[in-house]
Amino acid sequence: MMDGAAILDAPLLSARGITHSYGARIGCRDIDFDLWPGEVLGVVGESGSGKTTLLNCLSAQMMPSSGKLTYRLRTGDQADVYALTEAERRMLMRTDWGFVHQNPRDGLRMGVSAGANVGERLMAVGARHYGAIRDQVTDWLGRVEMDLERIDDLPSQFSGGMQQRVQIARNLVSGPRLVFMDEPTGGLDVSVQARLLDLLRGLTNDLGLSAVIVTHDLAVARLLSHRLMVMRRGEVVEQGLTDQVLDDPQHAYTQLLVSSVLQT
Amino acid sequence: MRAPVIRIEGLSKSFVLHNQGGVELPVFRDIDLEVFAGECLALHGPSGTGKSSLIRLIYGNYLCPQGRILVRHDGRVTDVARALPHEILDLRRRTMGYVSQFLRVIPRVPALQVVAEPLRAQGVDAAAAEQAAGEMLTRFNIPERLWHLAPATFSGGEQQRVNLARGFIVDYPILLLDEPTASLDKANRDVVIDVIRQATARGAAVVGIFHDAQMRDAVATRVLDLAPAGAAA
Repeated sequence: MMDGAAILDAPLLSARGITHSYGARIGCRDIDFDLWPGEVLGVVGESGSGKTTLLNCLSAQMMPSSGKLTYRLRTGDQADVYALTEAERRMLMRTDWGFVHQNPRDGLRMGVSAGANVGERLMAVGARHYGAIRDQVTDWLGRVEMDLERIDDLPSQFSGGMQQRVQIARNLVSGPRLVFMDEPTGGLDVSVQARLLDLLRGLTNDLGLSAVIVTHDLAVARLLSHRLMVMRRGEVVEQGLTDQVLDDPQHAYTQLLVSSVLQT
Repeated sequence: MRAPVIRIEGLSKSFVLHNQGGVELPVFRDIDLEVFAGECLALHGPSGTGKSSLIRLIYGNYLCPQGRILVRHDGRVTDVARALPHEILDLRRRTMGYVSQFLRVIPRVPALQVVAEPLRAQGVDAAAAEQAAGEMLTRFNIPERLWHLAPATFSGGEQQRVNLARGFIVDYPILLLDEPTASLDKANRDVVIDVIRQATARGAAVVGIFHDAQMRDAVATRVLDLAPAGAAA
């Protein structure tokens, strides 16, 4: 497949010098990286290290103070994300990107059913045929292991783990190429977390999705990400292949993080 | 002349422990090494001489700060020491297999899938990959009733055999084995001897650490003695 080979030779997302400050306080500083197609990038660091600020800048939910973000569109053209018009950017987010929030309430509409939450996303990219939408919604809720009898229930009647799975279905149903996730398993019980991790791992593998996942949990990072960026005080102190960063950490801060994890 | 499959030039490695007073632990200095297709090179030496580290450096698991680790991949030569993360992952997917001392278990993933995964990563469909995984598990004497269970609850020996089945399911051109038989009984060690001989017979280059001398004698075509760091180079 010539196309595939050609595509692999170019990054999907390129960040250069992404810097954001809140007044005098630095959110993140001088972040550079390339995300390759099919690659899952983990961003780790303790709270306040700038992970979420960076994720918000990368997903264009927030405009950084400076820096450039380039995204390669399906057509092969490069889009300068921060220079797009508001409408173009919203279109990109609907058609090509997904965003999974830590708190499902931030990513779901709590007043409409689980099915509608997922179907809505398809309608936003132009699907109109009710039967086809319903089929896809059912298919996706099945893939995230939802009990299909509850398709018409409101998300507020679901547990946190179920809400998170609906949010994932809502994000993936429209076939995005890039998904941003902010602590996707945060705040869930360990057993629910394991199930969700297994699900996410399967989905990123099977769909060849690219993703940026923010987490403070090194085990989650090891399981889900190919590559890791370690942040501290707004800066990336170390980055590389996930198992290499975790098994042979170079920076004092990474060594501290790795050695602080309890062994089970 | 034959070209090596792995060629290591001027490789040095040490660990710096920043949170323990910046202590520097040297592992080895200035190693040169060539490994050819069809041979099984056994790394030998007392513990602490960097046998595991050398294997991990070749696999890209440890960072190589100095020297080159050239690996033949896809008809070209890739320097593991300089490769980007996605290039190392591609190398692992298609060229280099690695069997560690312990299986890293993933919650909820059954043994059959753990073993099938390297084939799935190469694009083999689920049914064919699981068929092959079942054959490997049978070969390593893992009873079928365990195939659909997650290996977290398996015994050490069973986990290690799942690990071996996973490592040998793909015909990698390069196989890296870090004490793969530590927790195995005689019958299963014999299976490992068989699969290693089969791998070298089809032209794979094997680099391994075998604590058991009998095992080493049975499979190694060459032995590399590693001396404690600082003693020699």
